[in-house]
Amino acid sequence: MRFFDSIDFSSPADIKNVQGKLLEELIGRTSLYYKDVFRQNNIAPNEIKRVDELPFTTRDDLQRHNWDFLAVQRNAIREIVSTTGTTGQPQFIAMTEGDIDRLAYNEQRSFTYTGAKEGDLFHIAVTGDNLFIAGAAYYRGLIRLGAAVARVGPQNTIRQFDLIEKLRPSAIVAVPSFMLHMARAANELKIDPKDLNIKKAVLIGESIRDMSLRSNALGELVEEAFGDICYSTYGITEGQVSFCECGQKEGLHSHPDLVIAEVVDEAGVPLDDGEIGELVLTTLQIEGMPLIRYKTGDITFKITEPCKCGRNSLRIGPIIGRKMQRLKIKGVTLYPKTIENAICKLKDVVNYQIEAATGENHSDRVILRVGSLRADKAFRDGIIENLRAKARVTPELEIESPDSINKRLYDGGARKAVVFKDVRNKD
Amino acid sequence: MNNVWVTAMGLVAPLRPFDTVETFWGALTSGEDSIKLQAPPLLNTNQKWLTAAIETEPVLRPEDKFFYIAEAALKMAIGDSGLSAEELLGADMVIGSILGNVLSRERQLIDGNIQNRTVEASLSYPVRYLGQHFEIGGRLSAISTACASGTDAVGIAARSIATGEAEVVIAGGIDVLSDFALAGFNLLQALTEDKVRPFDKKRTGLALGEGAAFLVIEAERHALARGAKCYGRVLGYASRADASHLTAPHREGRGLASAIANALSQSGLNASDINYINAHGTATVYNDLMETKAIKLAFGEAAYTTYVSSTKSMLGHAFGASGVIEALCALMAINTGVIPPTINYRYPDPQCDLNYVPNTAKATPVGAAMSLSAGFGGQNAAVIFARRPQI
Repeated sequence: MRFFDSIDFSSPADIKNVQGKLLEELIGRTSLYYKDVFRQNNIAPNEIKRVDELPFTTRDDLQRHNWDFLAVQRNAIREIVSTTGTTGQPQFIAMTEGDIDRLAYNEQRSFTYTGAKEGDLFHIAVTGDNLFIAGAAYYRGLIRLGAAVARVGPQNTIRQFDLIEKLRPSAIVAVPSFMLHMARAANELKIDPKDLNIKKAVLIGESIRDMSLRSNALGELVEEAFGDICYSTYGITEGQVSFCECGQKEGLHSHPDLVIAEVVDEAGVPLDDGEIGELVLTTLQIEGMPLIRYKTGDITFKITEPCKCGRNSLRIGPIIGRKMQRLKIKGVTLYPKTIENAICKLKDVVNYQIEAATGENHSDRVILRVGSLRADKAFRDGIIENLRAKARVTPELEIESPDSINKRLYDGGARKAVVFKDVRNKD
Repeated sequence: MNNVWVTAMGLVAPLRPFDTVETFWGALTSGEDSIKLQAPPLLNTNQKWLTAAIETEPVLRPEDKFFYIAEAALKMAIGDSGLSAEELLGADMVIGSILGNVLSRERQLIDGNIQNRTVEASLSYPVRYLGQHFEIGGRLSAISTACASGTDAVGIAARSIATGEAEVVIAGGIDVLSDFALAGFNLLQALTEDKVRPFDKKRTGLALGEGAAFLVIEAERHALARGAKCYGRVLGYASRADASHLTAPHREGRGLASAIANALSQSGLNASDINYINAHGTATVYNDLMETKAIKLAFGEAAYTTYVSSTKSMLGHAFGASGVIEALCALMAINTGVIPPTINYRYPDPQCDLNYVPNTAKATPVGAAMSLSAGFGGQNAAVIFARRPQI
């Protein structure tokens, strides 16, 4: 593992040069799976000059050949993590000691973008167990940075507030919707979240920005409660890598020595800056399970122009949705997140679930179930008006009690709320 | 003009599925790009072109596709109108097209077999054929004013209602991709090999497209009497020539500015009342600069507060059909309160400094909208639509 601490500030040509060398190393020392792929596609590894000369790897490939992706002996494995399986079966990722160091370096760099430094105390409100990579990554990254960490995890809000009051952390790592939950709980407890004196919130798992890189509805709600302290990040278990905003908040920076990021269209053609497509990642310096042109299923765009912060690393926009969750309603293409953002700021909306079923005439049938104590016409009209204006669609709307929606969200013992339920015919 | 309504619409454009105006609009306002690298319609060459083609199953030859999409779009508009057979028999129809079906024998010409004449091929044949097929028995006219053909068809239809000459006029635009057009535009160096990027500093040209669109334009009194829908009123229309060059637009937008100013004057609206302009926006260096200058010349300061977008960034340039497709877009913007984006817009051009609705649609009330066309030879047309006043 080599650390290129200031590579972000190198010239684009120098970054490309480093990435070319690291790509060469990756291709020369890869797994059984890729050796087979190269053989089947008549690819001579030593002739590859650019990443886009290589074939794609899909989530299905990783799922079907999971352990063939291992590029080291099994006794070199030190930790196994897994994806959540939100959009399919969980995939296991094996990490070596070097990969764990790499993960810490990756997060240390991400935290540096937010201005985090030695002496900060971070309250980590995300889980560090259950095979999740994120909590462990933040913990190790912050230790490597020289910051202090309180591994609180997903405790109830009373416990969270109690620990924040006693420990006085300067920063927090959390999921945005959990921050929102905290803000609502604070309101009930007559606490002003701004008085908690948290200076920095590194938000994971959900985007808080819209296509123009401004705060989306979720981001606005969190910022209204806690102030302008939020940094958006994107992380992916399979890639063992994260992207993070800097103080400019104009896209999420990649770490050029750890990943080559592309955005491609449906046909796999790499897209230019600003063009919306699927994020594809080639991981660099991973020993255990390196990935080549991995199609993440996440939809975004890239920005290659230098950032005002001085870094020349490629940035990505917010994840506007997952490819598998893309909806088409009467010609309008959108993602469930668009519907969520259209309604989450509405007063009296307690919770919700979006269900997609196969409709007629190439259109998906989408049912929005909202949990609320109100079901009057004005409330219903307000929801429909917001959906029309912000999502440009009007799904079927059903209003139920918040308890009933809660049962739907955790139906079948789901460990994570199923906000988007997809029952479309996949044939 | 204040008694002219648009009471029905229909179209077939490259965005799938082709079933309704609503789905077309949904896809368009989602920023769907229909422009792809494709083989030319007939010639068997290795060269591919960026075009916005309507894909049919089975694949149709251009002359068959022309009538296939025309019939589908007209059927959609007539179905939407609710006009009776008797009313249709009394209706006029005016169709704008650059090429009509004059290239029906293109395959035979390519094969060198020009003796085998099996179809009538002319600019006026399509309107006569469609009139006969749908039993539209009024005055049938063909308009061919280069890329302004469709807008002129709408304007001329509206004018004959406003003057009391007719009560119902169906205005349409139809054109399909052909090897002839691809070769011609290529020779003029107007085609891009990159993305279509209207008003962008790095714009390099247009992509050709195809389509068919129809509007039913009707006298207010007639529409009210039969309880017709109103998608909007046609308030103004003007056509003006550059009178300067065989192909290139007047550099300062003289003709287009004049068309805009005259249409505005006829409408009785102020420039600031126009919320949206569906621009000609071909993405050629000269057109977009000229068009920006023309809008600024005619609108003054209001140019900076009006949304301007080019739907050609997604649909390509459908020749004579584009004017009617874009008029339909202006009407849909009024009806839905959504302005379609100019996609592929990345690098602002300091000389093109209006609000081009970059990359994502804009939700905002639209009371009045204008559609512009600027054709080769300096043929410019502007048409203004407004929401029906609340009664």
